[in-house]
Amino acid sequence: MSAAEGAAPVLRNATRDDLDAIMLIENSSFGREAWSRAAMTEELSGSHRHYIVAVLPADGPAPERVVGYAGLLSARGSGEGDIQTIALAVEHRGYGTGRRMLRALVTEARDRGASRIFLEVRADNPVARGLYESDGFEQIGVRPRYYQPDNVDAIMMRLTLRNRSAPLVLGIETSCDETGIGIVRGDTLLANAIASSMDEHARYGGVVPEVAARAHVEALRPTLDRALADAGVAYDDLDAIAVTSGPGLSGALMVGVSAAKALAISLDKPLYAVNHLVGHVGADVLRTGDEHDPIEFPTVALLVSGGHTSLLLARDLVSDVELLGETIDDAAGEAFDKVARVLGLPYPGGPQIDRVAASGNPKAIRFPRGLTLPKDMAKHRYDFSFSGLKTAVARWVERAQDAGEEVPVADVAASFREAVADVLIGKAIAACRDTGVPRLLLGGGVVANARVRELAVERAAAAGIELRIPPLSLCTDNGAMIAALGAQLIMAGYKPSGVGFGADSTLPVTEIQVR
Amino acid sequence: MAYTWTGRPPPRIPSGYPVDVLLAIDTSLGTSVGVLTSDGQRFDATSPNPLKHAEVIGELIVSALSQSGVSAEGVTGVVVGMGPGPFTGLRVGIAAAEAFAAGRGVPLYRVVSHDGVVEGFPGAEGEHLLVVTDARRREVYWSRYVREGDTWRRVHGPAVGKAAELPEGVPVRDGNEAGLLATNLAVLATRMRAEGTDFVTEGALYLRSPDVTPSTGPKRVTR
Repeated sequence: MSAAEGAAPVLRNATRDDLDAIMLIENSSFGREAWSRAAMTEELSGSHRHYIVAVLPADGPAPERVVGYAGLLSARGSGEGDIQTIALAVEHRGYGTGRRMLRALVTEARDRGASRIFLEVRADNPVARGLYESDGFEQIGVRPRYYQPDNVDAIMMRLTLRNRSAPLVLGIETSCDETGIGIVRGDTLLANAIASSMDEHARYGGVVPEVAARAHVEALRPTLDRALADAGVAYDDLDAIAVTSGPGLSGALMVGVSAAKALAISLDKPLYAVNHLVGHVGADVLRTGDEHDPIEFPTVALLVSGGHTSLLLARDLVSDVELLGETIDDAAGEAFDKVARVLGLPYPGGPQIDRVAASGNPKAIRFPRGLTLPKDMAKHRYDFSFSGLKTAVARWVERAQDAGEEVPVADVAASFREAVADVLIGKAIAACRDTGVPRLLLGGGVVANARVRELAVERAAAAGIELRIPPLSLCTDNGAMIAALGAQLIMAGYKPSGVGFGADSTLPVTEIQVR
Repeated sequence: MAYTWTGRPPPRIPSGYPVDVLLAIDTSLGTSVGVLTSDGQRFDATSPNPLKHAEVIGELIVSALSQSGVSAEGVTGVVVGMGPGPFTGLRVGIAAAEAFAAGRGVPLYRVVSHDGVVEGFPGAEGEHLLVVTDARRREVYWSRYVREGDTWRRVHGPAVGKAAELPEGVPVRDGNEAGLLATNLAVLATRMRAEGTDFVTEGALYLRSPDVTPSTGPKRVTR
């Protein structure tokens, strides 16, 4: 009975235990060209590899038997895959098992985001070439006398996978003090490289625009290269570039804008100029783990950082975003910095206040909640104000100091933090209720604040609102969210921005893409 | 029916382009972009506007390339003027040059912008010349050159200072008036490469610290 007349081999992932059986086939199939045992061991366990074996299942007393194997090299997100090897024991050739293994590897490569799969085959192996050709591989070149010592040419072949709906986009973000370069494929995050000039601003107690802009120029190239290395892609693989056009610090924005233009032109790829604040909302479309469900629209978004405090209603990410309200003076993050300074804590103030507030009583001092009185609510229902709060804290501390009392730093910090969180979350929940939108997304660096998150969780649950908080690395300013928004625009069929736009420090949220 | 695969396909090598093509960018004065082809042809695209660098930089790069008939893929090196110049505009050109060189994987040659202002300017052996450009705040950026053979050698600067304190009796070339063609920088870089002269290795030539003083602590809000 020939082997092929029995049960057809089944495919499963290869393990180290298959090594002996694999080496047996390797040596009998390849002779002088066979890989060494060490090389094969490395292949089986190497990163970005995927090896499968074809096995005849155990049958009574006969144990499972490996009759073939095949391997793929494909770094997730690289967009490419290489068929490393396919081999079958001689008596199992010609029954379609090789093709099944090939297709299993192609499927795996596709799952890893590959759109091109390469392989090389001996020119004197017409059966193998026929197999590849019939499965869509095309010849792209010849390497003369590649196989030695037989002096046989290698035929290089490539399979191009169609229906590639997820574009590979690089995003550049330089609106404040973070140089962010992110790379996404559709809604999959591949890289999120960030260089921050925060430490340089510490001695000034706040972000200095000129210092930030200088740092962007210096960080640009290393951060670009790091993002590409992290994503495992090359510049030429990119499908498009996206960049923050505004809002933000003008001189800082210009660094990103001009770099993005030159990069897009150098690669002859389309360029999308996008809105920073809408980018924060776009961060939540990124799949960063298996448990993350895609964001639904409409959603209310509360974006709070050192530069912004904005409440948005996003009915659709790429076509319909409305500003409900924003701060009329300081951003919430700025208030944290200033209060930290009053309390003698270092910059940036947010984490410091959070740290000392942990042991304080949030009800010790009742600090004012800005723009929450009935007279304010008529005109500023969704607006914020933190200048008065900051002054109230300073007054309270000065009074205590003047009276020779010891300032209860933990209580002041906790009470201040409570006032900020109360207003932020209170207004955000009110916006959800008023607009009938049962979803709230948080974004911006202040999301790192434990009390802000805690209060959001508490009140959203009480109000029956779904709360979404992206990972902190995607909440603070980053290039991945800009790439994500760019990818969404592309997938929705929007045209590129061209290269004539500028940096717009006051870009309104209604302008999702700058044309 | 068994086959191995090792190695990767060879890199895609652009063909049909000149061997050495330089894209040059300078935003220390207006916005200037140029392409110098391997046979010495120069194609410049400039905007004399001392503002709007970020707005026009893309269009000027496209324009210089299309005039020259060179595709982005054909550029084999990028040259950039590192200043001195007003900070905000200066950064636009440097960021663009860095990104273009990164995208194409080609070398970036950093030069002093003032050197481009005197590049190709005639002079007699041993003659001295100052290049002066506006530094705002009633100050100027300046560099001093001496004519040696066919070229000017920078012997002082670039520096920043009051116009009244410039060396006396030395002819001045006003950079803002003369303007700067980016291809001057490409010609300069080509010569520097041939002679083995060092390029600028530090960052942008701001010549001034950021205009800011460290915090002195919180101010009282009550009196």
